[in-house]
Parts: sequence; C-alpha cells; structure tokens
Amino acid sequence: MLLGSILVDGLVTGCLYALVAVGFSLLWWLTGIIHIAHGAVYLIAGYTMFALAVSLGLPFAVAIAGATVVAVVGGAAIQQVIYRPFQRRAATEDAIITVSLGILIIVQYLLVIIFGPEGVSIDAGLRKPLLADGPRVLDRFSLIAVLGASVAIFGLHFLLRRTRLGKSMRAAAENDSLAEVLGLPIKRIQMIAHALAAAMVVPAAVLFLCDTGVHPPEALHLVLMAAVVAILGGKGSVLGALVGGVVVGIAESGMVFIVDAGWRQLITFTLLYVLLLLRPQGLFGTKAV
Amino acid sequence: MSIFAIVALSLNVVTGAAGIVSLATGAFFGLGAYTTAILCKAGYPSLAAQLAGVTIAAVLSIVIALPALRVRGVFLLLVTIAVQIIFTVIAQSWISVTGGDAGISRIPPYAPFGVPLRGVAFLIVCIVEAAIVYEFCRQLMRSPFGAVLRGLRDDETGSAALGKNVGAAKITAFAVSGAGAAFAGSLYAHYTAFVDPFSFDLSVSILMFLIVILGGAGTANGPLVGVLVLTLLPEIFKFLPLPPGVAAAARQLLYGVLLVAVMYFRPQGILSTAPGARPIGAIRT
Amino acid sequence: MRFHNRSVVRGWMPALLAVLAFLALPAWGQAPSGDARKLGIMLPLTGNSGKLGQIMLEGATVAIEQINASGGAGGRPLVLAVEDSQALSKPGIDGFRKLVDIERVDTIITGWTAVVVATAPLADESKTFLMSASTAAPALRNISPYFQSSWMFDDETIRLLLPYARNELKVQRLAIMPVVNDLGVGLAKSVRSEWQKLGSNVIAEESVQVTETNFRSILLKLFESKPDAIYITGNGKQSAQIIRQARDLGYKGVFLSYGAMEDPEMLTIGDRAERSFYSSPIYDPAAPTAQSKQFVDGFQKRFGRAPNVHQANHYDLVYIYKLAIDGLVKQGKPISGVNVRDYVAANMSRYEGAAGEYAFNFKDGSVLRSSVVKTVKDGKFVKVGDLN
Repeated sequence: MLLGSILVDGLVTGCLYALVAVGFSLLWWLTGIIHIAHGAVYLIAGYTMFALAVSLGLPFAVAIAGATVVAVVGGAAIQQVIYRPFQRRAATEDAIITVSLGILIIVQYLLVIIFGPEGVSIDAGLRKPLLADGPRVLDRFSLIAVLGASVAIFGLHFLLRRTRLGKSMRAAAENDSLAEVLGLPIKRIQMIAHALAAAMVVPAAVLFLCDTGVHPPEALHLVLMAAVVAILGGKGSVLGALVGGVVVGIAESGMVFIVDAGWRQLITFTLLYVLLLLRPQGLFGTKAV
Repeated sequence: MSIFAIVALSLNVVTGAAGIVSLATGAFFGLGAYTTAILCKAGYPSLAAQLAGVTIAAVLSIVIALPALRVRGVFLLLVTIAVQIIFTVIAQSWISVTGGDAGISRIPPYAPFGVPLRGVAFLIVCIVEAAIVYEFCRQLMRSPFGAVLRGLRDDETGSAALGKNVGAAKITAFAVSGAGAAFAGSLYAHYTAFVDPFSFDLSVSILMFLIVILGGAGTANGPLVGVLVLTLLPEIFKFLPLPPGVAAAARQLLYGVLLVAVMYFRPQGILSTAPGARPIGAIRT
Repeated sequence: MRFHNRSVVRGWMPALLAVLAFLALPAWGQAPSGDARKLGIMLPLTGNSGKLGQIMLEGATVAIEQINASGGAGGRPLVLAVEDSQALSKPGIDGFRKLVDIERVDTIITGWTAVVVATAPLADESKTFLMSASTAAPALRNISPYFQSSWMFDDETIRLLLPYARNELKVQRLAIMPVVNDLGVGLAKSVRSEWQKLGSNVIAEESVQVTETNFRSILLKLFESKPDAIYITGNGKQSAQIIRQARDLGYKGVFLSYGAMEDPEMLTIGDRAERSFYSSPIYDPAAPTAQSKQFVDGFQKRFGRAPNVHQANHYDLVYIYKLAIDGLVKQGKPISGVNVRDYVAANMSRYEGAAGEYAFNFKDGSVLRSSVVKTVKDGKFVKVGDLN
C-alpha cells in the first residue's frame, strides 16, 4: 500500500514536471533556444493566477483564463522583444542562454521585491482524499493533475503529428533555413511555439499554486528539472516529456524509501550528471545532438 | 575584492579563452574555503590547507571534466550546474564534516609561515597573490597553450583536425580554473572567518560568470574590470533607503539586468577587442 | 564604442587598486548620533520566520516607548537599531557587523539558532552582549560567555513535554520528523533519549530538508509505522505545511513541537492545526503583577490587540537592558557589552518580568521558566496544562 501511494504521488508530481518540461522541450527542438526564462513564464502564470483568484476574488475559471492570457503574452513577448534581436544578430547559443537566465533572475527578484520571498499559495481544499477508506493519495488534485497533463500533452502530440501547423513546425525544426526558403513563416511558427509552451505551463503553475505554492527561488530548480525531463525524454519529443516527467517524479518520491533527506537531491543531480554523459539524447531522441 | 579577482581570472581561462561556460565556479570556490576551514580548525597551517584545497580542486576538476570531454554546448553547461548543486547539497547534508546549514565558524586568520595576518596586512597579501595569479593567467593566455584554448572557442573541430590535443587542453583549462577558485576560496574563508553552503551556491557561480563576461571574456584585464564594477555597483544600495530584505534581492536583480544588458549591448565585454556578438562559445551550428 | 585601450587600462589599474585598498580599510565608523542610546535588535523580519520576528519586534517597541516616556535608560532616550537576519547565518553576520561596526551597539537582542551560531564567535571578539528569547537548540548551551537566553533550551522542555504526551495524551508510538540542521539534530537527540527514559523507543524517524515543501512521500513512509504522535522541529511555516499535508492525507494522530509552533502561520491552516501540542513558557496576560499590567495595557493601546508570550519576552529583554544601563550609570561604570553582561549576571539572576519569572543560569546561558502545554483551538493558541 505504501508503495502504491508513493507511486501515485510520484506520478502526480511527474505530470506537473512534464507540463513544464514539454514547453521547454518543444522550444529547444524548434528554435534551438534553451529557454531558461520558461521559469519566468511559470512564475508569471502562478502569480497572475493568485492575483486574479485571491486578490481580486475572481472565480477560478476566469482566473485561469486570465493567467493563461498573461502567460502566453509574456512568453511571446520574451520571444519578440528579447530573443528576436539576438537571433537576428546570429548570436551564439551561450549568449542567448545567458540572456534567458538574466530574464529569469530579473522576474524572480522583481517578484521577491514586490511580494516578498515567501511565495504564494491557495488553499483550495483539493487535497482531501476522495474515498474515505481508499488510498490516501487519491484526491481531486491527483486526478486533475494526471488527467490534465495527459489531455494537454496528448493534445499537443496530436497537434504536432496531424495538423498542418504541426507539420510546418516539424519542417522548421529539421531545417529552418530550407523551410524558410520554401515559404514557411518561420517567425510566426516560432511565436506560436512560444505561445503553446507558455500555455502548457499554466496548468502546472495553477496546480503548484494550490498545493505547495509558487516560490520565486524554486523557479530555477524547476527549470532544471524540466531540462532533465526534456533531455531524458528526448529533445522535442512531447510524449517523451510525459514519460520522462513521470519517471523523474516517481524516482523522486521513491527515493524517500531508500535515502535520507539531503542525499535525495544529491542522487537526482548525480543521475543527471551520468545521464548527460552517457545518453544525452534521452529515451526517445535521435542521436543527432 | 581581490579575492574575487582571483576567481574571476581563473574562470576567465576556461570561459573566456576556451569558450566553455562553467557554472561550477562557486563549488570550487567553496571547496577551497571549506578545506581551509576544516583543516585550519584542526590545527593545520594555513598554507598547507590552502595547498590541500587547491590540489583537491584540481584533481576533482580533472575527474569531473574527463568524462565530459565529449559533451558539448548546453549539455556541458548542465553538467557544471549539476556539479555546483551537488556541492551545495553535500555541504548542507554532510553535517559531521561541514556543519550543515550552520556552517563552520571561528576560522583562524591566514597565517603563512606561521605569521597570522589581519586587517591591512592580510589585504596586502591578498593583492599580491591576486597580482601573481593575474600574471600567471596572462602568460598562460599568451602561450601556445592559450592559442589552443582560443582555437577551442572559435572552432573546436577545426582545432582537432589540426592535430591539437583538444581533450587535454579542455581538462587543463578546467583544472586551472578550479584550482584558482579554490585558492581564492581559502583566502575567503580566512577573511570572513565563517563558511556556509549558501555562500558558495549557484548564485555565486552566476556572479562570477557575470564578472568575466562584463569585463571582457578572454582578455587579460577584463576580469579585473568586471570585479571592480560588480563590487562597487551594489554599494549604491547602501545609500538607498530600502526596507530590510529588499537590498539582497535588489542586488540579485541588478545581476540579472546586467546579464541581459551586457549580452544585448556589448557581448564581448567592456575591454575586449574581439569582434562583437561573438564573445563565447563556438559558432552556432 | 571602444573607450579604453590596453595601455590606458594598464596605467590607471594599479593606481585604482591602491585607492580601493585604502577604501577597504574598515575604518568607517559613524559617530554616535545625538543623545540616544542604541540597543541592537536583529530578528528575521522577512522570509519564512518573518511574521514571527515582526511580532517579537512589536513587544520590544512597546518597551522602548514606555521607557522613553519615563526618563529613558540611564537618563537618555533609548532607540532600537533594527536589522533583519532572515533567520539565516550570512545575513545574520552582515547584520551583526552593521550593528557593531557602524551603529556601535554594545548589546544585541537576537534569535534563531543559525544566526546565533554564526554570530556568537563575532560577539566573543567584539565583546558584544547577545540576548535571545528565540533560540531553542541545546547546542547553544555554553556557546559563548556573551550569550544569554531567556527562552528555555528545548532539551529541557522536551523533558517536560514527553511525559505529558505519554500520560495525558496517551501517546505510545512516537515518531520524529526533524529538519536537517543544528536545531533539528539536537532536538531529535533529546526526544530519542527522553522517550527511552520513559520506557519505549522512537518508532520511526525521517529527516526533512530545510527548504522542503512537499512532505507527502515522507509522511506516507512515517504513517506505515502508525505513530500516535510526530515530533516536528521546523519553524512555524514549515510545521503548518507539514500538518496541513498530513491531515489531508488522513493522519489522525497528534503533533508535538516546541515554542516556535506559536506562529501566525499555524493559524492559516484552519482546523487542521488542532491536536498539535507544544511547550511554551507560561504567559498569562491577566497576571496581576504591575509589570505585566503595564505591558498589556501599553500593548493593547498601541496595537489594539492582546499580546502573546513572544512579545512579552522581548518586552522583558528590553527592560532588562534598561535596568542594566540604569545600574551602570549609577555605579559610574562605562557602558559596554562586558559591563552590561556582568551587571545582569550579578544582579538579575532571578527576574520578574511581564512574561513571568525567569531563573537565569549565567554559567551556560540557559534559563528556567514555568512551562505549559499549549495547543491550537478555534483559531487561537490556548493553554491546556502545566508542565512544571
């Protein structure tokens, strides 16, 4: 029973990681940008949600919609205002990563200065078990997280595989100069990708908000986890992100069994180290890295 | 400040010259600091502790870099981040050795050859040691080795094709950078008489990186300018009436802004003579 | 935009370094301002323990007002020099340096184990007297001749709380969930040995990182051993999180902790906080002593609500300082950390303050006070029993 509970708990956390990772992975694959500022979008989504739902008292659905709009605008803005000038200058990968990190730091500390370092959270009562005698971790939160993540990710996968937009994206990802020559609107495609990535992170932010809270100092850590999941699942593989997220989530939960508090993080990052050395293309990626 | 200069100069060798972005600097800085703290409190002389720290750092740099030879670009960056975080976690959890979150306090002052140094005397010694490191790095970058490193930055495959031992160069660069950071770390431990995991975490690595690129990665004087600017600039905050707790966040915010600003306006840094928009890293593939 | 070339840089670089070397000399003390005496106070005002620290500061503020309204300390007005420690070592050291080097205080009211551990060696060097009403770790016993606590070290309160748990709360299976830091390690050790003295062993122990926010898997593992009670050692905010998640997972047992549990954060989780018990120094706002009445009335007037034990504690600390200053001035002795400490040690080993009676032990920095068990009920902290 304990094992089952831990698995379920890990599954839930993993789905949240997956939601954050899938956007990260998508952007990396399509634009080649390591979007560390994805963490900034996450923070913006979380705080907006809090502001709308708690400070303004708007109903949940409205608040979520509002947060989505703000996040998408934010993500697109980062692309348009920050990344585009660098791309136009053919800046190096490192330069863009640096700028992305800078953006995350700016957003993180602006939020700390304005709202304080403790982060925000909502007590929505989602965590009460559904069945009085059933497994303790089976609560509304878990259901929403798993179902939500699955729907979102499978939806995205479907988008990429079946729709024309998806096909354009895949073409652009493989060879953007050629695609551009062939008439594909690369800029618009990249913008859409940023919007999609931002939208994917909103449910994760809302769920985190209702659970342990959205804390600015955790944003970087979350992006790192997203990077781990993205690498594990393979760059650009949407389903891979889901699988990777779940694997990481369960591993994190399961480690409680074996190891003491501090050492768990150690193991996570040692595994990352090993993963990067041995199989940077992850579980589902191709060798072209 | 001269302590940070030492770290920046050694990081410059790896990042500036060789074009490898490493965010593990804080870890090596901390390694030197903790080694000094532990050994000096156990009664070992300062110079021995410093040497021990430097040696351990150099060895560890090599051990970590060796398997990472094949790893490029962003993956290598993630590896260094992983190393940095692993260090912070160990510092926090290995309480019996490192004192955990509370750290190690009452570190005796720097005492080379048995003469304890405080205040101005210590400062002068630090400046002298920084000058030595400066000269060492400058010579290093002028040497044929330096040329190999620059070859690494601009075109790695090309260098390899020309027969340069790219792997050995990378490892040596890492080792120098790690050793330099550890050297500075031991001085830092004597200076503050206190070490804890939070003084050597990822934000320190980010700051060091910022110092290097601000001043001009790959130039000899760049790191010095960077250190100057980044030590003096936050002092402005002391004069602003900020509510408590905001000052620290404001400083970090400033770093973020600078990261973006430098990359946007002058990516090669203040002093560099290299052509613009190509400060670090290989040509985008 | 190239405005420096190498030779220019080379030229002014050494000169600049020399100038900076001069600037780095720590000779920048400010002259003491005006007439007032300064009492340093360094508490977490932001961060996870920020709310609690601010509450404590309120108590001290009331004391300052009343002191200044009746002639000040040693004839001069008394002001607080406030610094935010964020309950962390590094900011604590920075705050300490600022208070001692720039504000030139001789005594600092401070708290939180990590901060005291980091600043005690500095206090030794600068001979600054440190007083605290918010440190619990047994490791602080004897940490410095300049440190004196007015809050009982919690190995002693554990000795009092556990028998209560066993006898009154009928706890038989006790588990511990300590945080990985000095305080957690120290408290866990005390719990283990005290519980053993009562005849049983702790049935499970799982440690927690300081920055952890998701305790579910750890709790699930603990629940496997079916504990009746779990002793937690974190600050109020973390405890509130743990309790919230545990209750949502269906835990029906009891939580035990030390005084830090009396934190506003605990009141944000609703009725989940009930059945959490902690030890605390006795504090009765309705106590008939003159000092207590003066404090309660003053506090009520200033803040519009009744004070709690933490505020009373800090009120008392400020008054102890004032009395020491009065005494030293009368004796014609100079004001310094050493003299303040010596005066307090010589004259105030038993002190009757707004928060009750203190029996100080200056040899190791500890104190004995009457303790009670409190819990959370209906959104308030209430006493449920006496401990000694």
